Amino acid sequence: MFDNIYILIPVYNEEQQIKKVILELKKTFKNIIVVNDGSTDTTQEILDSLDVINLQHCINLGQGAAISTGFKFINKIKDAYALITFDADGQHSIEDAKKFAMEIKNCNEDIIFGSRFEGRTENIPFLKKIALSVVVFFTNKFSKINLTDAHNGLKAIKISCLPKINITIDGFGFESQIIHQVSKKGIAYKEMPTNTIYTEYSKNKGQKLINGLIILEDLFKMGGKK
Amino acid sequence: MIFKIIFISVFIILFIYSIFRPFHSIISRLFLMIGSILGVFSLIGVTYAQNVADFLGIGRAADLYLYLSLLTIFLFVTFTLNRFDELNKKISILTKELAIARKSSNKSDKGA
Repeated sequence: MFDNIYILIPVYNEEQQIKKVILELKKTFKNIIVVNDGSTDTTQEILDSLDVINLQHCINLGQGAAISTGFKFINKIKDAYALITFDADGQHSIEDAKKFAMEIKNCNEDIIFGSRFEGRTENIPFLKKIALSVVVFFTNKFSKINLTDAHNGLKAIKISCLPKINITIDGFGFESQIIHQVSKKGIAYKEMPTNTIYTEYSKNKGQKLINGLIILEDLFKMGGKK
Repeated sequence: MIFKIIFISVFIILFIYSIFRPFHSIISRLFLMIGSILGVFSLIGVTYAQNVADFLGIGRAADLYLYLSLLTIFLFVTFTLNRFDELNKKISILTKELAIARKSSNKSDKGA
């Protein structure tokens, strides 16, 4: 059981999966923070029945905003050593989260990025693979960094480096913003392979390919603010 | 003639309004001020407008007003979008702070 490693889950309309995901995580992680980003289905009722720390956005802002709220909240928890961001749609494996928790406790780096491109890649849908490669290429160019995956929801971050990360992008582009700040502020990082489970549900819930354009626009905006 | 008088009256009222209305930025005030002056000018000074159009090499006074209108629309859209962005940022900050504040107050309620 990891007592001082917190799981952070941003949630929006996940009534079908959220209970299963949380109950599975609870077997290993004591502290789970769920940020409900203005869900309009029964997600909140489900969360009320579970043993989690629940933060609620009164309106839907986006995944980046939910993660940002979680960061600000965890930063105030005294005994927290690290956090692991985890998607609510069931596409991440609990085993990976455990590996990330073990590694962040022992490694010298402040942040561990999950990568779908280290190891097996055949389970990634073809179009998604292309779109991700484009986003990774531009993210690496803009941020002068060398990562194999830029938008993997599974990450481990030490609480001590949270004050250096300031998320202002509310949408999916926040992942690129984190990478940009990691590079700019010299935060030590590493990558670890993840086994992403693509189900019909997670494909429908996950990022649409068109979001890639919005992410690229956010990257250009960030580039302009340098 | 009656329409000319109505339009001139409207532009004069807009000009007075631009002086007294509290604006967020001086640019918005200047927009309305210059726009209303140009409006009056278009009605009573067609010859002058034609001279300005000739000087700028546009050809016709009507085209001059068309280009000015397009420019105004583009600037208006740009300023409005920027304002939306600013408001979105404020709403986002408020929502995040509210979520954390609510959680903190729930905790202290339980503790009491």
